[in-house]
Amino acid sequence: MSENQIRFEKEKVILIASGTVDESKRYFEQQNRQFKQNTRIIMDTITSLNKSKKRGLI
Amino acid sequence: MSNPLKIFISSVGQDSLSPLRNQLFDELKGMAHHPVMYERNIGPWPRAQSVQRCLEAVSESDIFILLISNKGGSYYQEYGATVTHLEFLRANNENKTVIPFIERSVSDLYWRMNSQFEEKIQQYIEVNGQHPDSYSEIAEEIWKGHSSYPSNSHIDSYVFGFIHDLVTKGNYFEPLNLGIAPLEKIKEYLSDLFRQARTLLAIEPIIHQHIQNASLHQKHTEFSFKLLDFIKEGQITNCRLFLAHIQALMDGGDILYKKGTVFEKNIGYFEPCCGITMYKIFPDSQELILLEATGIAGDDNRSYSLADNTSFVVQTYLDSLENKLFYQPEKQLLYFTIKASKYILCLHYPVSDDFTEEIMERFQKDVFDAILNSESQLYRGFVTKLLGGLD
Repeated sequence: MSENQIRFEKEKVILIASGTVDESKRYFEQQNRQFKQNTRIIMDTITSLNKSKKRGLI
Repeated sequence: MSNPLKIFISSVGQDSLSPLRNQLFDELKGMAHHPVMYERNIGPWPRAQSVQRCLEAVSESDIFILLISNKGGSYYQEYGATVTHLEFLRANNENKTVIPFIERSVSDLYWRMNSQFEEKIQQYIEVNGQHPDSYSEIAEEIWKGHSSYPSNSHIDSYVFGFIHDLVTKGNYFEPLNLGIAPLEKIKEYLSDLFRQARTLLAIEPIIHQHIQNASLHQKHTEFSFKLLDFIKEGQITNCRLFLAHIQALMDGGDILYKKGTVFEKNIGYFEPCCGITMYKIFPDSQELILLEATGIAGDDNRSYSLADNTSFVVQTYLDSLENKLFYQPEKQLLYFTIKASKYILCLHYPVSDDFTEEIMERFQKDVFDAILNSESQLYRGFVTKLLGGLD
């Protein structure tokens, strides 16, 4: 480990990285975006299928 | 190897329908489908077993073609329905595609009686407080009192009750001409089904992904409610269980170098969280006090003075960046720390043996990203917000 690493607990623990709460929201936002996008695609598909159903009642 | 579409052909075994059934069977087979019909490839079975075997064959089928003429068929007292009707009910209950054909003269008569069915059923509900189990008695009463009955008495009343059940369950039906098998109409239905299936198959991966996402949302909701159960008047009522529920959802995962790029490479993994410590700073105090430790996290460090600049817990509290990742090479542990207002959480993750200080330094961003970009981050995010709002 290079000397400029910050160490704690009698040099036994090394700081690897730091981040903000906002950075940690990335996973949630990505999942949420994908969920909304998939919902739209599935809903659009179902709607188009329902519209195109042609069944006659005698 | 192809897996052909199974098409069940259902009707009363009356002579006038036999040629149609056989013609349909042969034509569907010629189209490389797998037709299923009692007299061709289900039976014969002893009477006691034949109904059950027919119903099993319906369950094994994908499409249910129903031909209705003037006969109701064999009525089974113990089921309160005819075999054909039972087959339809099985197909309907199991969401099979039902394609019913009804002889036009019969369906025309049914529509002339449809409103009477509605009235009689309403009267039945008023008297008995519930919907009738079967329409057979109502059908008999209506049909035998109908002006067309004397000249059409060859039509069983049961047929009309059956048709009403079909209509009630939202089935459309096509006209049946006893002289010609309705093959062209069936081809239209199959073509339409093929088009719908192709449209749905095109989004199959998205549906799978959506199911996973929905399950994730459900898990998150359950987790949130569980944790909220431990909060009362701004305090955590049971820190041990509170942390135990968090720990249970802190999964491990692969650590990938240059994730999502062509250079992506697995460089190791971190195991599920093996313990959590939770510290809190109290008003007018200069110390972080250990509230609880779960799993294999030790409780040796009961408190840390804010002046202790050798403590990574204190470092987390004093720094403006709320999330930190530390590495303890001797124990091969990662400490993911979270600052949430007055609270500090320290999550312990064992890391694979192939990690060394050098590797950790080289791939520090990838290690941090692996922990942050995982499902567990959803739960950590909620915990951070929740703790941030507590006293």
